[in-house]
Amino acid sequence: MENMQIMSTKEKLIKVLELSGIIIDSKSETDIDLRGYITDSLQYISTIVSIENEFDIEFPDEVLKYDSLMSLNAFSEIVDGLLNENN
Amino acid sequence: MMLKPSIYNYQTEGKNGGLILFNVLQGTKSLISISQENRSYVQNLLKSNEIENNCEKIELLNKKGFLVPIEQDEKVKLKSIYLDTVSRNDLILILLPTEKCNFRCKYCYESFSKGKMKAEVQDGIIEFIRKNIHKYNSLYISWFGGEPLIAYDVVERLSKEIQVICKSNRKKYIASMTTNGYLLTAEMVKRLYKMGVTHFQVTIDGLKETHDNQRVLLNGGETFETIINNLCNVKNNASSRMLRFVIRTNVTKKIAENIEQYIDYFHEKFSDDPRFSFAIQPAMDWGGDTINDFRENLINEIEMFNVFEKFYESDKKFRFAVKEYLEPGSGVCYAGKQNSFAIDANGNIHKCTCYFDDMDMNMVGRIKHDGVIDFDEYKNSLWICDNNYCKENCVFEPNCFRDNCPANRIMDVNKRNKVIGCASHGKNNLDKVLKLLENSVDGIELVF
Repeated sequence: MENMQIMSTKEKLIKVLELSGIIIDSKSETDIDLRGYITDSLQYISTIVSIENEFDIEFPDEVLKYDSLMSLNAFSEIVDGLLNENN
Repeated sequence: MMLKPSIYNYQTEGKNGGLILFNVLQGTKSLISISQENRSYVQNLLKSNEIENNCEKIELLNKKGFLVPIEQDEKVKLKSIYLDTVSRNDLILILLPTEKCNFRCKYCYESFSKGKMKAEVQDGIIEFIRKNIHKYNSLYISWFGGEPLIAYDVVERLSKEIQVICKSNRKKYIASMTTNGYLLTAEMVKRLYKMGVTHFQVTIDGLKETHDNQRVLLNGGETFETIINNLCNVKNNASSRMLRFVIRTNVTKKIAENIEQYIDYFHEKFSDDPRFSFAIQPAMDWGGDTINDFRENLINEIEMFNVFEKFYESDKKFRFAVKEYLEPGSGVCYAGKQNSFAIDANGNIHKCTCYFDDMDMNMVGRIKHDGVIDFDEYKNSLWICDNNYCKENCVFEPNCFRDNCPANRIMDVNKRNKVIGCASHGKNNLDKVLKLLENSVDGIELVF
């Protein structure tokens, strides 16, 4: 994925979501509820696995709840937190 | 509002004299249990012709789908479920990277005639997906065999290419694998997870004595300890919470006789990890010649019932891989779906993985190296779930759509074998499954 290394976590997350078939308006300034984009369990699994593989993180059980996706901003912070733990 | 009982209600006796209720049209979200003191009240309600929605208990039964508006024709709801199940725009490919196996299980139906998937077949699969993925919402790959991990290089090559194709086309992609577990180390699981494989099914036939009698290496060697060590290492070292492992056990007489030891052993090993669940079923005659020397070990229905009873009575709770088979449409075999295909190591395209060599109608096409398919649309259409095959007005219709095994329908097996009644394992085992779930880790909610 081009230029991924210089993107912020949120921008990179949006890119990963896009490659999993979830297209969101990255220019929007309002927070986004991702739950509306998850159409079925296949979409959910495929998306989470892509994020874990791309960021080389593992989500703990308490994050793997449907409501964790209600805020893209909060979810980005969770990913940031896991990245910091790895470092 | 006036209500009536759903025509898809199913009930069975629960623990302590209570009742387990399940609605086949609603699936697992309907599962509830009723206390003994409310059992007669609910049973009488479910026998009534008209019910006024005038209390909390009735409202709950309405919300769960056990009671429906009196004017409603529930069969209308089946249309969309049927279309979504059978014609869903998701491509399902069962890929056999090899038909060779490092095991020789005593009941296996496979002939092991074909070796590793040839490079031109792999090229054909990649090109087929590249040229056609735009027509589908998603791609689901199920790795099968033989033993897929003895052709790991094929799995790796195809997975990596498929992942790139799906990403560049913005398509959902996920994969699963059926493996004997002998090569399924923690490192292997981590590599496969990177390639999108999240779900694994591993067969372990009881404890060491029975497993090493039934599931041996090609040279007759033992396999139990290696598989158990692998899975324990996976538990401790492959930590992604999205991974799922189903331990399947094909129960034979000896396993049934020692089922309490089985319960103790596997509960101690795996109950602390929610990613592990169990599929307990009888070993059967799945075809082929090998079973003829093993037939005396197969168990009958009463013996299998006793096995389920032991799980039901045990204070050791398991997670069972059964809930997904209770959802509407889940009883329709993959072979009965329009966009589901099995591709063997020679590039032949089949519908069913059980009849590669001895059923002409099963081979519906062949994949060429450039990804173009010689496809027999007529044969493919024969396999599509026929929502008119077996008994009308069956309570289980929303699950299997009256055609749970298209292979049997096409070969007219039931008529030839004079099978009377339903051949659906799902329906015939529904009672046992609901009781197992009641005694499982998650249990069934007691509502009143």
